Amino acid sequence: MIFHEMEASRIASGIRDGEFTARDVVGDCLARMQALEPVLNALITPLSEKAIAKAESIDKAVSSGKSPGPLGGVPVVVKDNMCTRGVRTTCGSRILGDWKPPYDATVIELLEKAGAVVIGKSNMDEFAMGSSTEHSAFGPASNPRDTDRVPGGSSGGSAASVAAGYVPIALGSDTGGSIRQPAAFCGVHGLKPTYGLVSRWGLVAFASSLDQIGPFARSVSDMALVMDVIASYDHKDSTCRPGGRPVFSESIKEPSVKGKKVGIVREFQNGTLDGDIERSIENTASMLSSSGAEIVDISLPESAAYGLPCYYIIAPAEASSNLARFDGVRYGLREEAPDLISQFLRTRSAGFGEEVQRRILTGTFALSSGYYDAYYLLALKVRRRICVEFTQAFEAADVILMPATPSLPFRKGEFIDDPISMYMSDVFTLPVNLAGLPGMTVSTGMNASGLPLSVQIVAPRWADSRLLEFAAVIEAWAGRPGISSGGVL
Amino acid sequence: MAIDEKDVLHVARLARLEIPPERVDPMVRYFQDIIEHFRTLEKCDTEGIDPFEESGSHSCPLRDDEPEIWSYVIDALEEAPLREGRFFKVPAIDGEGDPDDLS
Amino acid sequence: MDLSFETVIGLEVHVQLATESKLFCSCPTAYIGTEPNTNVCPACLGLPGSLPSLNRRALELGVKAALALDCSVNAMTRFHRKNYFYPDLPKAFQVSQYDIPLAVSGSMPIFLEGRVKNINITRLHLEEDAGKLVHKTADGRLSGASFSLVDYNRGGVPLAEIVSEPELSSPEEAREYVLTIRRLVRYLEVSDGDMESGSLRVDANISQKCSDGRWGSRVEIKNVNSVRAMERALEYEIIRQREILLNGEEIVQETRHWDDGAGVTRSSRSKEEAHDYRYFPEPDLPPIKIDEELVKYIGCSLPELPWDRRERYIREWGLSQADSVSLSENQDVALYLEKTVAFGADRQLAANWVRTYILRLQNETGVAINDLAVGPEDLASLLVHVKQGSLSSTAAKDVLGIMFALGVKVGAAMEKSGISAGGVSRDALFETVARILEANPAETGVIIAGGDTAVRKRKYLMGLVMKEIRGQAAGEEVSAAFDAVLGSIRDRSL
Ligand SMILES: [Zn+2]
Repeated sequence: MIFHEMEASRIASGIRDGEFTARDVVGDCLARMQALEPVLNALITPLSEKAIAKAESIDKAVSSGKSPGPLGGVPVVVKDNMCTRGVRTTCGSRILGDWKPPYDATVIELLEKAGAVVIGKSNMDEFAMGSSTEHSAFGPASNPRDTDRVPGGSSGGSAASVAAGYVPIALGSDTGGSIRQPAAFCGVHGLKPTYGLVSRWGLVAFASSLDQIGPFARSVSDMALVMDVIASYDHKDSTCRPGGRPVFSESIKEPSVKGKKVGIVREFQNGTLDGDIERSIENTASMLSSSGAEIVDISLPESAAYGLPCYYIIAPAEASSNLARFDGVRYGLREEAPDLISQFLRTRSAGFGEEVQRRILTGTFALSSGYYDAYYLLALKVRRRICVEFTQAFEAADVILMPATPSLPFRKGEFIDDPISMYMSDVFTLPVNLAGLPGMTVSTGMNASGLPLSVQIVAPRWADSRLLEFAAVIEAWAGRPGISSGGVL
Repeated sequence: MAIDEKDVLHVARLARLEIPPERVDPMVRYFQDIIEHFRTLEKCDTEGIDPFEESGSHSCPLRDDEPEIWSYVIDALEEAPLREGRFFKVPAIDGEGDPDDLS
Repeated sequence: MDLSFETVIGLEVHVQLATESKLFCSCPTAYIGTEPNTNVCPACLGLPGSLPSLNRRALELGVKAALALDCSVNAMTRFHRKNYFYPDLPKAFQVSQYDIPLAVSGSMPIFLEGRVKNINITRLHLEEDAGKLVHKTADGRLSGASFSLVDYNRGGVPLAEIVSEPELSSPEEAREYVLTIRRLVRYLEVSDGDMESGSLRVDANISQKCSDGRWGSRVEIKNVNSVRAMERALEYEIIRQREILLNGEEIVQETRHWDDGAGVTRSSRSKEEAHDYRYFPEPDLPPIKIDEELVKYIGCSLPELPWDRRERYIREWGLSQADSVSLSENQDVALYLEKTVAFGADRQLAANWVRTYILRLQNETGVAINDLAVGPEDLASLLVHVKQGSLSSTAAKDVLGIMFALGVKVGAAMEKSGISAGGVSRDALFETVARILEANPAETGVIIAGGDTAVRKRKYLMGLVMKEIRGQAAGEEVSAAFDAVLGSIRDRSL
């Protein structure tokens, strides 16, 4: 059986029912990974031996009549900015050296408890700062749909792992589009949940008020399956919303968009949008309309005009503080120096890559004395306006339909010397983070040249299950994304 | 307001980063470009906006005052680049012009 | 030209809150005498990916102290990050409060030389303590050390920072202010308030206002590790600043460190850059809504404050200033005293005995006042005997000793000591003295005639009385009784 093409739900039920073993599934996925990794470089740290041991323990549990958990035996990949106890966690940076966290992120604990088998930690732009996974200290990753192109970023390795069939599901983190943009580039689904739905404990912070962990999958039902595992209240994250969570797999049982209002945003389509993506939005809208949804025009002028600069003040400002702790004292890289301040300067300058240093510097500037009001505080006010603008938009629409990215996946090296143009890649995704909303990239197939197409749907806070319901309807029409080997196999 | 080399080097110092001489000019240009982008925000009407008005957020949860010993302290200590016994070790404070922060 | 000066002092007092666990993680707060880096976890080591979670008790203790200082508690408060690099600060920022502190606008009375002065409190906010650095040189100097060692056990211990308005006008007032805060936090059990061990720390701001209209810049003094050190540092600064102003020079606004050994303040090394802490709201902690009911509840359950109690002891009980201070500064002691009075003891007598004997026994035995073998009821019944005169104070002291030693009630203790109630009453003592004098008319006669210049005869007779009463009265009491009885014999014989 070709396990690496299977959905997670199919793998889990097959193992549970004794149809096949976790060892076989994991073996097949590891073989797939080993064959493609030399080209894709989607993983920073493959965990083959650990994965096999875990698979065997799942099989043992099954044969002794124990439940292996909802993800029992399902291979997964997690982005390398989530702490894994005793397993190197790099954030795609040199500065963490060989750091082996002495604790697990909450999502890792939840995955482990659910029986998932982590087969690797995925490549990423350093500290999640980037849109191409080219800013990794461990070399760039490639897009399995076209290996000359970038997989997007910053969770490019996780998106590529799912698109290439290493795993049916993977976790990424999304601060300004870092799940949805690579999902769009790699042709898989990617969900950024409502801020506060999933615990951030153990996620190495980029921008604390924007970061959120979410899944990649090749099917909406797998997306729901993993959300049911990772979305739970955690007292260790004070920004995690107390209370229960919906059962996501229930919300997609009989998906319907009948009578729902779908808002289409016009401002963003100002001529810079790729034609194929624009058509994908239109086709999706007409399908939803013929499925009984009402299409309404909505307006998000401030998000369109100010989202980008607002984000590029707030995120670096928080990052400059979050990344100040990397000083060579307690963990990670330390550069030898005769005195303390030199140790700090040398360690940080040698450990952080160029893009990270750029953002630390702009963030430090935006918070510094004399500039705080003009930049940071102003950005907070604009952020507030963007929140209000979305709230008003959701008075007229149940979900918003818009592009995930302005362009199809770009070629490696295309923007490497032009950071500000690269930032434009997040123009449709980052307002969603600023407003703390759930947003999802839903794959809608391929264009004529075999490059992935997608749409982004956005819902009000805590309406994550509504997104999955819409995604299920879109998936039923557009079909589930398949896997690609980037021409290697 | 134009950002110059002096400003960028001052910010780098605050952030404990060293910009090698050949990177200073590109960084100054980057600063000038990005600040140009930032300034588009000045067109946004933010009169009377309270940036901290947070309708959607819950009040900070409070934890009970029950002490717990963490079991993996040794693992954490073993990650230290430089150690002496159970202490983390750092070079002398000399050269660090910041003795104010001594408590 | 005669110039005069006014000293203006404002204090920032940092008080470690008496919680079991740290401010933002569950690690125990113990750090003194603890092996380095044992009470630490991902959060207080600042490990990547860790997040803060706020200790409810720390917030409540902060509210308690704030209400006692008559502050208004904000309905919403939040934390900020104060960013700076230092190895004792594992996240490279201190989570503190900035624009919306826990409480603002309070005041506290201080008593000095019989006067009351109200000092306004600007604010009270919560923040986390830093770790500790140990420097490698043997003499503990910073310079010359080649390495420093870092221990994060103290990192994250909750602190309340209490900031006064610049309204203190002398080192003595500053001293009294700090002592009053220390008494208060101990009294409320908000902190152990121990300055020597660092659980209470003070930074002082001091400036001089000159009679010619000049106002010297403010100087911040750090590194004062005792009340005495603070007083000395302030005294030194006053002289230093006045000399500068008298020379017509300007005072540099700066931070100076007190060198206790040398007895001088020293300027911090000139900085390469001014401090720029880049404060911004801590995104990992949502704003905290302070429950109005909780504030009311804490307000209602506040005990009578030490200065109110002290006032009452002076005004209503007629106690001395010294008695009132020492008996009101600890709540358990005050309650012990008031219970003793409630059980029928005389106020002044109870005050004397609690202050003299009970506190001493508490200190000597190390047993908390509430756990002493002699409770307020026992002390009260003993003092009733004293008041009635059925027990001399000397005898009562012995009885108290037995009560403590054997853990018995007054009756049993008196029996044990051979003193029965009434045996050494005033009347009994007079009766005994009269009997002895009558039985020894020769000696008595000499004394009355003024012939006992060497008081040998008087001593002999007093010895007989003492023997008779088995020493159950003090010499001065016997002596007084002697004089009284001799007086009445003299009157009769006239
Ligand atoms: Zn801790």
